Amino acid sequence: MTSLSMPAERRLGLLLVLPAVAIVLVALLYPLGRQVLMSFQTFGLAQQFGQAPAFAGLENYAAVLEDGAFWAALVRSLVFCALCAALTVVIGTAGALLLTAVPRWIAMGVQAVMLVAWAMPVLSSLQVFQWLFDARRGVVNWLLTAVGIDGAAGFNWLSTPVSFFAVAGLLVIWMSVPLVVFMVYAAVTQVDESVIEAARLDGAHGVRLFTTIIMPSISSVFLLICLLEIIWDLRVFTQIHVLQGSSGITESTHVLGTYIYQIGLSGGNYGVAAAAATIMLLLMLLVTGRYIQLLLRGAKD
Amino acid sequence: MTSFTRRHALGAGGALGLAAALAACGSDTGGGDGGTPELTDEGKDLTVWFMKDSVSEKAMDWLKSAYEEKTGGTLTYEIQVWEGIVSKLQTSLASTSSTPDIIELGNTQAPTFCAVGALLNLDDLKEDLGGDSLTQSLVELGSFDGSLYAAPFYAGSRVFFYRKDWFEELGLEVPTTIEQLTSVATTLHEANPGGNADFSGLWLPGIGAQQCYAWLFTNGGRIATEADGKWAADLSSEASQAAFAQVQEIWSKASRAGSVTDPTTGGELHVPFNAEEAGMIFGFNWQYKSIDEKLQDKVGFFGFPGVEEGGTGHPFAGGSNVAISASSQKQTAAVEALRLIFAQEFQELFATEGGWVPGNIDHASALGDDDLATLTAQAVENSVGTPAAANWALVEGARTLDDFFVALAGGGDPVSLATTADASVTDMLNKS
Repeated sequence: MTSLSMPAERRLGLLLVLPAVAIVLVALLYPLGRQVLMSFQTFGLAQQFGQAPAFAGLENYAAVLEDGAFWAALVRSLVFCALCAALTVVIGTAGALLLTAVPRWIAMGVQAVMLVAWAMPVLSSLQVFQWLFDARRGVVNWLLTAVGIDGAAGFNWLSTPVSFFAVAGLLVIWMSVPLVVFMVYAAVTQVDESVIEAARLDGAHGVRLFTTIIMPSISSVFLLICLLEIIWDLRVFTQIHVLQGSSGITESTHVLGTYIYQIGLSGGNYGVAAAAATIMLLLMLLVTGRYIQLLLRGAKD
Repeated sequence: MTSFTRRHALGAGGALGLAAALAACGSDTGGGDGGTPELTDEGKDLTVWFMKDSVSEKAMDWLKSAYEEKTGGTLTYEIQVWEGIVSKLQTSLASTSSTPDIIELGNTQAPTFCAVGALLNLDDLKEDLGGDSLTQSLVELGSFDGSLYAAPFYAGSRVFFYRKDWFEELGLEVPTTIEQLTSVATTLHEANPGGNADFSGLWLPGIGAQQCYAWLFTNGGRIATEADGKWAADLSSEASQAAFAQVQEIWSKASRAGSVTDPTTGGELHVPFNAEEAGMIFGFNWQYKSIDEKLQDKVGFFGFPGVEEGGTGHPFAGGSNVAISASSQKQTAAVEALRLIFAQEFQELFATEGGWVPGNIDHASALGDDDLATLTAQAVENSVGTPAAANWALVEGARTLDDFFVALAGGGDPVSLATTADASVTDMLNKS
């Protein structure tokens, strides 16, 4: 490269990156800026319909932090996220390893089926799950009754918080396991066969083979999956929101996402909702910070 | 409140309550700026939001062609579902680019949108739309600061459907007091003439807050009352608690539907009725159309009974208002469409096709004079609405009352449930 072409190439580079930057600015930074601004304003329905918002200082944040419902939703979110993310990653990874051990056509078939599960719109899956778990006509209660479990007939799964989250969690896991399987399977099949072969000859099998050979080789993909799962399961909204509509126990099933929706869109208090959303964002960064750090370090290596 | 006619109950809450309660929000919220603003006029093709099950196909077709004939513009209907509509309206109505031009608002939601300045002032139009013949309770819910923003669209109220053949078989009489209602339902329930494991004497779903309001209102209880510009929830009062004891008795002795928490299942009353899983249901007159043809002859009707013999039952006042968005850019055309909605043809189609009591009660006679029509008209006449508070939509959005009745149906303690619900309802209604 000559010294003359450098600036030209850089200019071209900048030009090419511009659309991406513009999209990020418009689609992410503007709403985020608006949200942070709103979180310091008294912003309710009247403001939504044209009245000028007043500066509220930290009042909105104080309102969120003083609200017991926020802390309850926070705890629910964290526990729900931890359980769902952990189960998804474990089941997904185990599934992927199983796929490497079966004949190729079975692996292909299983992946095709999983792709359908994964590509199914959330609302459709929700409808199917609601039918499966329907108190009176659902196949789950029918099966449980058939195997002789007392009290399963007519049991309303959505009417107690624990069974509510069990159904919601099952749906969330069911919908995200396929992606974990795809990614881990793809990563594992990239691991050099000869390395595994060598390890086998040295007597490494099962767990030991996985922890010492496979895991280190796929660690960056694995980290990325963990990060994505945590983010997805922490900000879960649709599944909970829709199931809440059929539960009759809205208050005791709020997670952070539905809590924010509740105060903002249902409650018409956009200022406080923005403050809660900002707190949730900070929380996400806190929870995922370590992973992002590891990922970035991995990328440098 | 000493008298519980609909007009009275809503009148106190509406005319006095709204103005007083909202004085705190300031009359400069855009709602009460007095004179009629200039109408926008940027086109004739309108977007119209009607709610599911509100306007019949026939009425929509009539309106569309009448509008086209009159103005040359077209109407595009977008049918909305009740679930989540408040949030959807909050965001859509605020934007000039995405707002529908004409909107149907549930009567319980109307006060909120009238108060925030989301709707066009209809004062100049009121006489043309029907003036004093407009259903008064809906006028009050659709007004703010003495101005009309959302005109009465239609009203409806629930009546009991029962199986005449089973009543006869068991020697039961149509109940004339709430106590008799409970005992009739219990007898039916125990006899199980449907021979069905899921049989309910009265199929009353746990998620059916609007159905349960009939017990509350008839006993003289209210969801919330307003005094000196402050709202106070009323679920802990003696009258309200008496009502909750009665519904709990139904759920424990005469209904297996208390565990139903899915609003769709809870709303489709004809399903258990057709499956012979219900001796009685409490639904809208138009739901008769969904009853199996071979059962239709066996169905009888009665209105919600009073507390005492000869007393009056007060079911929940269902219904809608219709309004023009303040941010619509085609208000001139929307006004023309609104006039057509209040034309005799459209109003009568509400009654003949939909089975609703039309917003202009001069046209209510189109409902007919059979048993069901007469009982429906009576029910509407005696019905009571939810509080005419600007913030009522927030309570609906939080599902506080829905969840309250679900918990009651599950056998929860009415006193402690009421204390909790009262606190959150009072808090939401008084939020500025």
